[in-house]
Amino acid sequence: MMRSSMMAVALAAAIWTVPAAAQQKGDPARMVDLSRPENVAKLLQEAGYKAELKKHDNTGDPFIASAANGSPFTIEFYDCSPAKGCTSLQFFSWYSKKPYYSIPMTNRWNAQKRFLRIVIDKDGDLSTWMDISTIGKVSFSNFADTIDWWQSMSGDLFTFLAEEEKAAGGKK
Amino acid sequence: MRLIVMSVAAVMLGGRALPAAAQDRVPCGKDLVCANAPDTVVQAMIAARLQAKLAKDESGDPMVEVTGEPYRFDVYFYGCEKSRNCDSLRFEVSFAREDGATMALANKWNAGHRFLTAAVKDNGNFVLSYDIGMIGGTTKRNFADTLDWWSSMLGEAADFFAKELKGK
Repeated sequence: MMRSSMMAVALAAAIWTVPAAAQQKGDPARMVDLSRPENVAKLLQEAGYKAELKKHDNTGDPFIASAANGSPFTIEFYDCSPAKGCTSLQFFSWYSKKPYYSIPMTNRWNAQKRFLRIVIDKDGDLSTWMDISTIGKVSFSNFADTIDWWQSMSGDLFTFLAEEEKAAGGKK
Repeated sequence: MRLIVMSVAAVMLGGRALPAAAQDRVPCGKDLVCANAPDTVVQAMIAARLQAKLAKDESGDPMVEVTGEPYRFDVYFYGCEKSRNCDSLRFEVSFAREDGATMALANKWNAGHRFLTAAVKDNGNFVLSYDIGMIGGTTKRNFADTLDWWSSMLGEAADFFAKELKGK
C-alpha cells in the first residue's frame, strides 16, 4: 500500500540522534497530546493528511473529517470535557451495503488481519474501526505510526473486498 | 460460561506492505514504553499489577505471558528484525472451540464494543485481540491506560459470554 508521506516520517525518526536536544515542532521524538481534537487535527495535517474539525449535529461531540487512499474517514472523540479533553479516539469509516458482504467475510478479515476491525451492522452496511487511548502523551512518531496503520490497513481492506467480490462471482 | 482459554496461540502474520521501513531502530526514549525495549513493556505491566513474564514465541521474538483474571493472555511483539527492533504489539486471548462461540457472536461483540476485536479462527478457536503501534514509544501513563482498556474490556467480554452462551 502507499505510504509515501509516512515513510518520510519513519525515516526521519530513524536518523534522529539527539532527542534530548530537540522538542520543537517537527521533531518526531517530541511528545504530543491527543486528548484535544483541535490538536489532533493539526498533527494529522503535519503528517500529510487533510483534517477538518467538526461537530456532530445531534450530540455536539467533536470529530475530524479526513481521508486516506482517496476514501473519507472520521476520527471520533469519546468522554470529552472542557477541562480534561477526551480520553480516547476512534478512527471510523463506513461502506454502504453490497450483496457480497457477509458475516463469514468480516470474520475472514478479522481472523487474519491486525488493527482494523470490520463489522456488518443491522442494515447490512460495513463499518471499520480502530480505537486508541488519548490519556497521557505519545511521541509524534508514534501518532504518525498509528495513522499509518489505519491508512495501510484500510488500503489492504480495499484489496480484500475486491477479491471477495470476485470470489462471490461478481455480485456487485 | 464455559469458554476455556488456550495456553498457546499461533502467531499470525501481521506485517505491513513494506516491512523494511517499519522496524523501530531508534533507541527507546527515557521513561517511555517501546516494543523495541521489551523490558519497558513488562515493567509497565507489572506496575499495572499484572502478573507478566517475558518469554519467547515460536519464532524467537519476544512475548509477554500474563496470568490472572478473568483470563490469562499473551502480548506478542510484531515487526521485529532478528527478534529486535519490534514495531508493534498484539494483545490476544484465545478460547477453545465451543458451541455458540460463532462468527455471528463475534460480529455481535464487534458491533457493540470498542477496542477489542473478536474473530473465529480456522481451527474454531474464538479469539479476542487488540493491536497497537509502538514506533517512537508511548508514555507510561498512556500505556497504562491502554492496559486498562484491555483489562476492562476483557471483563466486559466475560459478562458478554456469560449472557450470550447461557444454557449452551
